[in-house]
Amino acid sequence: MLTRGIGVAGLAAIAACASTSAPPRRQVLVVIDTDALSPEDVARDPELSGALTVDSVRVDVLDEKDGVRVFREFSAVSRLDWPFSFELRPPERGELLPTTLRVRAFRARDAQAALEGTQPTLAPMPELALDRVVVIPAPAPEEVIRLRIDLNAECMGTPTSFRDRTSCVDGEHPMLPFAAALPRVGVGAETTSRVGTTALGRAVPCARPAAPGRVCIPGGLSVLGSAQLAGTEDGIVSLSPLPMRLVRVAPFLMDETELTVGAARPLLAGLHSEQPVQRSGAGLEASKYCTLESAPLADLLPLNCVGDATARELCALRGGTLPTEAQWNHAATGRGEGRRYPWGDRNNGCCNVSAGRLNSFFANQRLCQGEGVEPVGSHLPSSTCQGQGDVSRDGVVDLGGSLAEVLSDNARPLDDACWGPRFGILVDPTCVVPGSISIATRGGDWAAGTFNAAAAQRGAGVRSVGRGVRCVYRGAAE
Amino acid sequence: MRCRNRVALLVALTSSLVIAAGSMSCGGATADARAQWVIEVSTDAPVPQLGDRLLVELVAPDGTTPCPGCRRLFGMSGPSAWPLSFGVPDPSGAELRLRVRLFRADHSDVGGAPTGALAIDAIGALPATAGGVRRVSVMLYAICTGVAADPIHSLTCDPQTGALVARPLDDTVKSALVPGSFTLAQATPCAHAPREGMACIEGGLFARGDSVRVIDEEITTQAIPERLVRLSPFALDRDELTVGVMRALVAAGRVERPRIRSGSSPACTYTEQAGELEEHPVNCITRDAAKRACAARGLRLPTEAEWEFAAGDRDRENRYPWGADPDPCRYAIVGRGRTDGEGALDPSSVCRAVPGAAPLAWGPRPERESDDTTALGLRHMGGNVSEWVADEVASYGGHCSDGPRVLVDPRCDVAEERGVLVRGGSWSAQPFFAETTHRGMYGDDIDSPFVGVRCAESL
Repeated sequence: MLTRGIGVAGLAAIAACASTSAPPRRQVLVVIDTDALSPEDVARDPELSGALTVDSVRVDVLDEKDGVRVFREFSAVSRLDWPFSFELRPPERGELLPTTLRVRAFRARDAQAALEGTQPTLAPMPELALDRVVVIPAPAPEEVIRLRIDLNAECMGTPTSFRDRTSCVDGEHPMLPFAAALPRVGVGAETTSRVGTTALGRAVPCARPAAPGRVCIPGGLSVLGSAQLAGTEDGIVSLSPLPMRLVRVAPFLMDETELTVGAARPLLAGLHSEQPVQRSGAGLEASKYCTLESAPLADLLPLNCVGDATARELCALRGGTLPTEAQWNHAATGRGEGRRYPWGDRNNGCCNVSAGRLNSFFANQRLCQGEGVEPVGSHLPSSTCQGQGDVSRDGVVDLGGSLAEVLSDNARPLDDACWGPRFGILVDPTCVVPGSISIATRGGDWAAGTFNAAAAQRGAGVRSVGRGVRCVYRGAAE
Repeated sequence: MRCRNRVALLVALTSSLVIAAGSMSCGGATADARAQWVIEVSTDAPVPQLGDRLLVELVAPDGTTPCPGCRRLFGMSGPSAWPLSFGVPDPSGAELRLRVRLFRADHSDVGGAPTGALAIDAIGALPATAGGVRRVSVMLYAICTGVAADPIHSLTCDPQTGALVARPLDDTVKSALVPGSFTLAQATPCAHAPREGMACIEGGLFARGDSVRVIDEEITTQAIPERLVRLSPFALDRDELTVGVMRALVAAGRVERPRIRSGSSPACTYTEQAGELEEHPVNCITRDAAKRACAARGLRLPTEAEWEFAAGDRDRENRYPWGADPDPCRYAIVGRGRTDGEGALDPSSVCRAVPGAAPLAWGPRPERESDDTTALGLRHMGGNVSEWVADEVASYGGHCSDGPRVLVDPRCDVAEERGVLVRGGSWSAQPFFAETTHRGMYGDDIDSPFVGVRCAESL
């Protein structure tokens, strides 16, 4: 599939490559810079979150009705591409009038191919773009105006308000009028850049060492949602992965494996909530796949057939909580790496993940060998699977398959009011809607196909043979 | 095209190398006389179709990149950005190789490195500068697309044979490759006008498959790996074969009658007598019957590659027949499934009517009612009924995709496993079946109410 590259659109008003040595004449030179990350920054330092990268800039000249009169796209994939500058030129035989410019920086792979008039272009998602609108004054005769527009990473995901005629400038000035004065700069100001200097993208280490069986998930920025999975949801047990939201998560500790029957057994006597369903051949047909039974052979199996309240209580008894959807997503997508699966981008099938282990409804056959729930850690990286297994960037096991996992959030759309502000960076978001009984889950399970292990796939579920428990614990300083 | 301060960019970092920005950009060549390579990168690939990102790396003999400044990404908007020239200071004495990769932005990871199979990849040893300026030329051949270079042994695809060979970087002055000049990428017009009701699809080059959205559970029908495919010109029916056209073929004794619409087959469109459904697509026909219907018209089934090339508007490779808008429910007759035949829409159907609008109709719709239309006027490629194709079932990585790097007019005649392929979504399919790269499969050659046919002809 082709995502259109950044190209030069037919445009008279913006001319690239303004000369710095031309004789003085009536001229407007615009310099654009950012402190967000370039892909090169992330390639050099993996502790920087890829969620904060920008590699493309679109500059629109707006008309009186805020329509796009002309636009131009710039590719800025390297640190050396910043800052960049262009000259505003009047239309042929026209005058340079005050000009409204909209400047958006974004990552091409998250943007959507679109048409502006008849011109193909990339339309950035407002939740993942730096978006600034400014009014450039008209120069006096013989005047040379040199202006600098800084796109600040703190504004990521805060779109321009055309109703209020304001756009985000930085963290201290979340919304300033279009007409707010821009800093003027001297000759040569376009040579120094702030690209890559934001502290927002840096991973935050855990403040305490992880106890055995727990894994530190450093804090930082990640993307909740996925354009790659859009359109694959059924709206009932899988939820839309759009819109994509930028999320900041504090460091936390996560259980390395799903809660096993062996680890849960000593906690069961202390439960106030209903007990997990026992494995049996009788009653519910499904309960033959429930893992709780007295035989010690079951101790290494992940506990399933657990109700929502029971799951919550089991984590509390372990000194932790159920993960939020943002935490689970942060761990499974490799934090800012945006991995397709917890282990990476390639799916090697049945060897890779505990999945496809139930006879299909339509045909008496399974996708993968074996039937039912497997012991935790049955799909560690192996040479028979080209070195792959169901292990996350930070070492968490079976996030992709085995059992889907109960979360502390309700299953709601990503633009629901429960998440907090509709735009901007969500900080440790939780989505709890009083009275809602739909509980979010994440992760594929042993019965579903291997592609349900996609890290960004959003689910909803109830007590079942395919759902289990994994707890998280504080990782930040008290 | 971006303006850069040349002086600043050509300054090497302390004890490391820097791939400097193009001196082509704004203001001509630099006059830096230090020992350096001046490297020119050119390609014959159609751009930006085959690539809009260029990753340039200096590589040590052990395959590693020895310094942060030894890696540089360039955004290559289109033909006007080529060839690319830039300077690399010689660190005096170190043995270095230069690796250059051209690929698409959507086939890259967060660090900007290529992830897909479609990169053009070249590596070679940099010749000694002897303290002066040494010109080096790197040529990226489209025929080598998908052949990864070997950075350890410094081997690159040979454009003549496709084999990995040690290809020295040219230091003699050669004329640069011209973007888009690759022979197999040239558009070939149809030899004559197509018959009425059909569209001419000019021959050309495209990337078959989709490595970005791998969402199909059946390994065989996953649309990976992506491969370059060259197609000859052909004509394709603008519409799915209608009940009316089918009725004429049946009346002429050319084909047998399809399964008739009835209480037990409420979604089948073919009726005993001509009626209100004459403009509906005919369904409930097997692939075998569909083949005969096309043959009776002097036509044939399209190949999978032809179908995908036409649906995606050729080298534009649109994700959906109508373009890029990712809302199949709005354009295509999809997501309206229900199997009990009562006529009303199942509330669990994926697509819903816009509030206030008439409820979505159940079953196939007349061909002329279409927002699911390609730029060439092909209707209902995304939905309505899926369509049988000529190929037997095989994975894109399987025996039918062996051979040269660019597949020419591929058609798979030997099945890898049991099943019959369809392309395009249907009124009952999940919305993502409307994606032009999506491959569908039925276990047997059945007369399904979800499948019809669209015929093709070589031109």
